[in-house]
Amino acid sequence: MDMQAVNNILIVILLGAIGGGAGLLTRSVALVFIGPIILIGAYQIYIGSLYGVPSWARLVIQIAAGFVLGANFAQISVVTMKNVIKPAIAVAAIMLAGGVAIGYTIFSFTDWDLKTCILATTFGGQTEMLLIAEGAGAKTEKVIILQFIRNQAALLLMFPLSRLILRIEAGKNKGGQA
Amino acid sequence: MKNWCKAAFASAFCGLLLSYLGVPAGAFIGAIFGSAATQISLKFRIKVPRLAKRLLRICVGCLVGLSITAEGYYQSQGIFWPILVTIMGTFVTTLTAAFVVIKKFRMNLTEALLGTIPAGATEMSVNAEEFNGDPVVIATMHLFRLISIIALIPFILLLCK
Repeated sequence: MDMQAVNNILIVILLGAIGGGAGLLTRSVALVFIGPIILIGAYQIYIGSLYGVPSWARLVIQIAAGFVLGANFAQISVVTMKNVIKPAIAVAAIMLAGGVAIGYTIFSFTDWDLKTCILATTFGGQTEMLLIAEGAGAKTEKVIILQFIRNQAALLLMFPLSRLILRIEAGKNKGGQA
Repeated sequence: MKNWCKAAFASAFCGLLLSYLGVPAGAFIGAIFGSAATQISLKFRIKVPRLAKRLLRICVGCLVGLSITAEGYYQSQGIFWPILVTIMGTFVTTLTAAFVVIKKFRMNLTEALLGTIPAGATEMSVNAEEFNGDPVVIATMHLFRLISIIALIPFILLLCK
């Protein structure tokens, strides 16, 4: 490994520590993840490529992330799962088909590759889709932007809208009972 | 500790296997299934410390940051229409899913809406009780969606080649 590669690895560790550390200090879960992406991404765009991170390091991080996510999935209660299996399958199928359809629509009027379009619009979790995009060789910059927008649209537009609908519905029920 | 080792070994094995077989992001997908399958079949639950999860998120952030290039960044300028299509598509897909589970499966409005909005299982579940919804049902719906999509997306990507 040449000196430049060692230097680059140290820079990656330093930028990751600063970006992630800012998230840890401010107790912002989003910043813990986004901080290193912004700093390292900005470095690569404006200063230079940080090549030299060994491929086994990528593999280890991907496996570790999968291990932790698998532990989360194992928390699903079998009893609850049996009760909601049909609606859960329906929701998963509609969301998967919807995500792929949105991706295909974008693919049809841009010069982006289909892999990037699908990963940018599929409803599979921001972190997870980014990790898959990185492993699958998609254009991560586009996936980051669209997944972030999608997540914020759901959180800042759809969630308040559904709260409003639920409040109106709760008001109607109370009115009906009175 | 023994259980940790079993789950870690299964994760590493499945991850390396799918990676070797050329499945897109195979290491990540394989590790998820190795870990979850071991814990479900051997009936134990691993609780990963919060700090470890956050450190891992930093590492994943570094990995994703490394895949950003100047060329890709400049190509991503002017993406107004893809953004608009994504927002509209998110609305239509989510409302369709909520409508189907209400009409077809007689699910209550709270669980249908909060169980379908793709804005994070935790964020949606914590709001369930305020509207008489079951947070466990909502969290399960979200986790099932994530598992299904993560499991199927590599095969869809293979079809894209």
